[in-house]
Amino acid sequence: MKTTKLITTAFILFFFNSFGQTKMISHKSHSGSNTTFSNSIKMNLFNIGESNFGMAPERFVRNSNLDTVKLLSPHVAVMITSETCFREDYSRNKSSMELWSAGSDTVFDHPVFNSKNSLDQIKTKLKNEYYFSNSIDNVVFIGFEGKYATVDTKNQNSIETEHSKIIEKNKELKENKRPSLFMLLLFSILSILFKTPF
Amino acid sequence: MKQFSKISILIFIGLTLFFIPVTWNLFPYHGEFTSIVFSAIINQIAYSTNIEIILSDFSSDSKGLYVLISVLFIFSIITTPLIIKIFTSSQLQKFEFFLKIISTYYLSVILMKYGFDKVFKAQFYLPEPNILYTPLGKLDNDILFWSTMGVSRSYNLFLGFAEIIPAILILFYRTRQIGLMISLGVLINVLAINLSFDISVKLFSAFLILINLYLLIPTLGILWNLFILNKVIRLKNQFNFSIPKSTKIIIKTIVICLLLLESLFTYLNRGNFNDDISKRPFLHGAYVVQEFNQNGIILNTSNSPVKRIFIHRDGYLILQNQQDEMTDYKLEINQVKQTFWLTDYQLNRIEMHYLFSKKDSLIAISFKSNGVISTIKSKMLNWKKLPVLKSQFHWSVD
Repeated sequence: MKTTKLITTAFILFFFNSFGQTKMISHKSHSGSNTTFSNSIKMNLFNIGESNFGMAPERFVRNSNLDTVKLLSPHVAVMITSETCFREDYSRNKSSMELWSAGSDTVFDHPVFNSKNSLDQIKTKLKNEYYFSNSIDNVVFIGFEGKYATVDTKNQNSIETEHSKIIEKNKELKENKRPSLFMLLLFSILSILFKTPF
Repeated sequence: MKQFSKISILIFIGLTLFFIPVTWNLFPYHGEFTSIVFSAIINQIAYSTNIEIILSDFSSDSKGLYVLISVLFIFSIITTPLIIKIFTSSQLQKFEFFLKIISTYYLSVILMKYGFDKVFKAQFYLPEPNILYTPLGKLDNDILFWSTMGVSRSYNLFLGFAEIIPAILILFYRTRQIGLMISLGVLINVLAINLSFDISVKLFSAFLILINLYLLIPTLGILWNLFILNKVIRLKNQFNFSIPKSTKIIIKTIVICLLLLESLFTYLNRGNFNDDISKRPFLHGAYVVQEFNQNGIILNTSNSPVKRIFIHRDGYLILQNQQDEMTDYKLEINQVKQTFWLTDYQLNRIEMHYLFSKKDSLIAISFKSNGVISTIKSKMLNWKKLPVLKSQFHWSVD
């Protein structure tokens, strides 16, 4: 099981990127100065590299999916989260990957995931106060109604297997979303255009 | 000489529209493609000419883009005699014909993209709270212009349709010339704005005017004859190629659908057709400091080093001091641990703890710096009620 260190990143719910607009406008929109602009472009900091030509900034939220929550004891729960985003992020770099890392995590004395809260209370809190990208009604809750979930090695393996399956599923979904079909169409049309005048 | 200039311009326009790395939704690798082809050459030229290129992505008005355009221009002039020698006159005519078609559709899709961006209020977006609370005199021309445009939905609709209508008109032969005349006016205005307000899309907007003029030259000649020489001349059919009508309709329909898809891709994908009302992130907004506590000593609001705090929609935390100077940090929010991680431009990271009461719209932020523990208590401001964002319209003043 992963350490609780991951929890520090697992709930970074908002991480925005934008490209489009101009680099200067993008920088000045968050009160960046000319001096910090130079630093930003020299070091390619934050999301400066993604702005261009004054077009609309495309903001996409790299948000988390909460897939499963398992309550192991009154104070300990395991959450399985996965990353989703609204659009394929072509400009993803290593540093942004480090900011967000999906996976299974153990949380202790969590304000929401504990035995004091009923399942309905937990769902209400998640709906009102948290910003997961998936519907809270689709989250699988185990161990919240009487019997706690077990934490033996087998269970741990199954959590990890489950997580790998989710990651695989998300990868497949992402691949399906790639606009390769559009690109093929575009190339076909262009090739026809070159041969067929109108 | 006339043919030389004509072919040079043809080659230059063809190469430039192919290599300027505009952001395409359906072809996102355009920028990478340009980098692969030109990075080494441009860097070598920059090194030999002592030009310091910081942005290597050929982004708008970067030195790299200026060098790239210069290289393409010189290349066009050098290769022109060779092209004239190799190709026959009819082959060159055919090349010109294809380039005119490509340029027409290129201009159309660019106008459509910018137009829909305005209609859906995404290009000139609603100003962020930190901009709204910055004194006007402290803003630079470009962000001031951008923000002013951002407060009026109706003007954005007007500007958007002023770009979309010519974009559609130039797609059809019968309306192409009138569309090009309208788009020329629109683009000249865009270039004037970019030059006057120091908006860094000067080179690209000038290039779009060049394409527009290139496509409009036959009509300009007729207008000159009509208005100056008082002669009436009929416009020659420029695209005199015959193909089956059904094939033409099918191809044209597919191309127009692709252009529309390219322009609307983001909006259809997100289902967001008015950025002004799209959901903002957690804690987004402006906060006025009510109490600043340093190691137990409470400073009143006028003595507090921080006057307001802003949370930007792109993930930044901005502090405004008593002199209205702003300091921005990249922000990550950890809702479970209730912490902010701030990163400055030297990549120093600062951890802060926060407590947010949704009921009272109060936020308390505490942090430790140089052994001093500070706590800032602040209250959320209703920035959407500021006069600049109020919908106002008066036919009469009295």
